[in-house]
Amino acid sequence: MTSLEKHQRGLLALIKHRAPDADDAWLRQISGSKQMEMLAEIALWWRLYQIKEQCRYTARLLRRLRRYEQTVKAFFEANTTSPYIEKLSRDFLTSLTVHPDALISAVATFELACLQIPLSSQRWRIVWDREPTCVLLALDQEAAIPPPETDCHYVMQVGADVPGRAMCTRCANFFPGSF
Amino acid sequence: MASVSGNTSTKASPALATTYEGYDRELCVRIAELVDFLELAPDGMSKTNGTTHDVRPEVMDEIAIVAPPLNLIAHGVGLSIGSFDTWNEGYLRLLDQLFERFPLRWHSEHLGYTTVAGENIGTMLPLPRTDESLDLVCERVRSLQDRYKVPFLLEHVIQLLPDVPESYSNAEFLNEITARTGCGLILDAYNLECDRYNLGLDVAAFLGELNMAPVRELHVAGGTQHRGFQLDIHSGPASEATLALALDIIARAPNLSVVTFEFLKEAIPVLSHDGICSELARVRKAISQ
Repeated sequence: MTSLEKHQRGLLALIKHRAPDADDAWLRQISGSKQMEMLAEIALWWRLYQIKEQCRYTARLLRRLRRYEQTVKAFFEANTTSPYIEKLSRDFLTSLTVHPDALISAVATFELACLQIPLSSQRWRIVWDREPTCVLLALDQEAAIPPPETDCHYVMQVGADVPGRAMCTRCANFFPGSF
Repeated sequence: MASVSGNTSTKASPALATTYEGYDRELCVRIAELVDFLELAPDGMSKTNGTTHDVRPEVMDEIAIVAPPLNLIAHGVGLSIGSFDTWNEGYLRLLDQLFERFPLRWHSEHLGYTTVAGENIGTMLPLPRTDESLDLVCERVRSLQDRYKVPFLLEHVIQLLPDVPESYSNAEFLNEITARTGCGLILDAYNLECDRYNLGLDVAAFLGELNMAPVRELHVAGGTQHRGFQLDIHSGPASEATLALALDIIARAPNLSVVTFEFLKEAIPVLSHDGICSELARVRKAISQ
């Protein structure tokens, strides 16, 4: 490995809070320094800003849940993030489509589907545990997010071929609280 | 109208430029009346469609409306000229598209890197000032010069970390690059102030050691302090100290032809259109003295 490669790979590791090459004295010297932490903070700050601008609903929801910074930080540090805002946003939202919190997963999938409409003929099926329009309005207007509905769920279809690009059906739960 | 010839015997005031990234036609029209050059940011004007990355045609259309009396230059952030493995071919595609549409007077990039082994690092870092870096950058500069046939300029970036052992000095490193390739330089007065504040750079000694002949363009900007660091977030008007340093650089650089007031598009809501226009008038007045 050339020294330039070693240098750059080492700084990438430190910015993303991964383990750098322990043999390099200079990397050891700067590891944990306030300068290095500043660089990592700047890199994270840009990702927070870009995602907030591009993934408006998901970012608002995560901020409302006080999980925005930690979620973006974890994504940034664990993944090869794109410098291009559109790809960064898609990758971030994709990572949240399987989130264990059903609301985060639904909002992120909805937003991803909306971003993908001009690019793909895919039809998305998103299951919500509460009325989605009320959720999106609440995020838009910084109002209270409605609680989950125990007796029903909502199935939303999103796609270029869906009339109005999105439609939603209310479905009764066979067992209350399940969907 | 200010001179762009760089003639030292009858040195006129440098021309004035500013940044534009699109989607603010009102601002574009206003600044076009105040500047001689428009600095286009290929990265900021682009959009990813699936797998391809292109300059947004609607932004090029906006620029085409105001551009005729103006000189256009391109200034990138995404080439990653210093990455050990490869630079960003996607950026060159953007630059190709700009060159196809507009007669750019020159183009420029930062002497740093944003990508490592294909992974974006989330910020821009300066290169270690070593022989290996020098060889890599010079080879790539020559390639750019062959490809575009207009001058190519490099801009130094701020440094937060201490030097690696056995580094060239800041000025030596730039002198070597310009001597080996014939490329030009952009000096950023605010970045130099950041380096002075953060790492104690002796700016006067740096300017004394630097070969000033290749300096074609000068950037001025304002930024912010955070946790004891002066950061190169171009988010405010230039300070009086920055303008004073800019005037010092103008006096020393015989071929400097353009002074660019830079701001991030993210800072426009804070700066305001009126604030940007006032700042352009202020910089114009300062450099015309």
